[in-house]
Amino acid sequence: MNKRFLIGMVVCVLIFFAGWRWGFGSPIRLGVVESTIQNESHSNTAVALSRIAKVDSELVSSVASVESNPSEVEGITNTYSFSSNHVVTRIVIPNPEFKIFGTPQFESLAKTQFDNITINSKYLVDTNLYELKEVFKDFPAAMNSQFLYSGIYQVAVTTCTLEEVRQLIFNTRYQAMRDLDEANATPDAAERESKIERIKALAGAQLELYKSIQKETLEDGRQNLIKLYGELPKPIFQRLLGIELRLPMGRLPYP
Amino acid sequence: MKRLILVLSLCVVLFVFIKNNRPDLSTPLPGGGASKKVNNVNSDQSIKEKLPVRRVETLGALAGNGPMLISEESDLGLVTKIYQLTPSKSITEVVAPNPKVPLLGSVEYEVLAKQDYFESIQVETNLSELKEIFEDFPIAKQSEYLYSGIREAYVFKSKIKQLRDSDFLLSADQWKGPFEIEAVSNLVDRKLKAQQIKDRLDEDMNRILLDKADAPERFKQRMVRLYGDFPKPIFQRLMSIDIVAEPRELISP
Repeated sequence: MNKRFLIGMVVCVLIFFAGWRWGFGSPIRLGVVESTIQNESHSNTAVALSRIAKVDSELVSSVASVESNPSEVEGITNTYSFSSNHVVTRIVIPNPEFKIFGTPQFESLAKTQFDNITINSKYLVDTNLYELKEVFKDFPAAMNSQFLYSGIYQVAVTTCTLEEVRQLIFNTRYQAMRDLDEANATPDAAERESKIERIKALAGAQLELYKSIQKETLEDGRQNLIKLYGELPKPIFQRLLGIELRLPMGRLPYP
Repeated sequence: MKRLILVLSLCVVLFVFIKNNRPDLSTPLPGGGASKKVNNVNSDQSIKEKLPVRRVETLGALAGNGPMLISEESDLGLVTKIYQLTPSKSITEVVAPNPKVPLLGSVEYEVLAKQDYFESIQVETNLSELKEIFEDFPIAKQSEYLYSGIREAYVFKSKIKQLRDSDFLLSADQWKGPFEIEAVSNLVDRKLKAQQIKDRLDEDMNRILLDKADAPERFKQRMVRLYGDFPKPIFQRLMSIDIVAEPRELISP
């Protein structure tokens, strides 16, 4: 009797711990400690911005060549005029996977990516991805469509891009501050004033550019979601953007 | 055999009982990191009973196994924050409220907040977005403290921006470290200097992360004190609004 009892107890304890380890837990929800500045772009664009200082000389000539061969270049060209002799052209080329945005194939890729970084992840999980999904549950048009994960992916891309732009805005201010400190050390008063004016004008223009990019990013994200679901109530969009993602979702594995 | 079946059945029952009573780990934790709330057992009021007075924020995989912040705010606005950064180092911050600033939840605060709203909106246009969100919150809209809530949200969002900028600044200033190290000639002292810089960086970063986790909880706590409730969707919407201008202090004339 004793032997059987002991065997039974051991089996029960083993079952209990096995259940505790694999049955109770969803993936371990670890806090995600923010890393240092991310240099890699995780937005849905493949073009990084160049400093405005280069635009007047180097980029203007390439802009001319782009305009003369529009059929060879895909994407959107935005031109920002700060003054008659200060123009910035930004060419936005969406990442290739966005060519199939709004299709079941994209949805499948987005769902797989979501699962890979959440329930199937062996590493840190950004629990705020589940928060995003929760918000979509209050949005019937998304829940009834076949493109829930496409929407989650789009929101993640928008949020990460906005965060990158905030970083760029900070970097611009920081660099301007350092440049001004250096300019203030110039002994010649006229030269000093000229340098300070130039630095402020350049930084001001760059900040305006980044603010325009913020607005465009928001609007593009909004339009893409409307394309998917036919509508997008403002409160839902605000709730989605209010969720901070600590880790980007990454590019979709599309050739 | 019968005894074996009985033992197995008892184990299954125990298994199911413990599973149903275990805290739900699948619920995402707000603000990242483990967050633990300690109830205030000394209060008689119903709102205070469901409101924790003391908040604990931690970083790291397990609560208590890493940097920690214990913060507490009294009814009179005195804020005490204890940062436990390493097992051997803690920093205590006590912030006493300005006696000229009225307390949240008072009529005077509401009057000043309303006045400040109409002045500040000339500079910070996103205040109108904050107001729009609060107007979708029936309890706030029907209460006498609508502008107090908007003001608190303004202060909170400004704090978030400040913390984000501190985070960026800490990373941006890292170029200074090697210069500080190179300035030390002695090799042994140089290693010590390098370690000091690393420790200082870790501490500063941890303080920022702890404050980032604490600020939303403090804001929610103050909103619940003001309105008795604060729905999650309203909070999420507020988090999407970017505030640039810093709020001025509300000082009674």
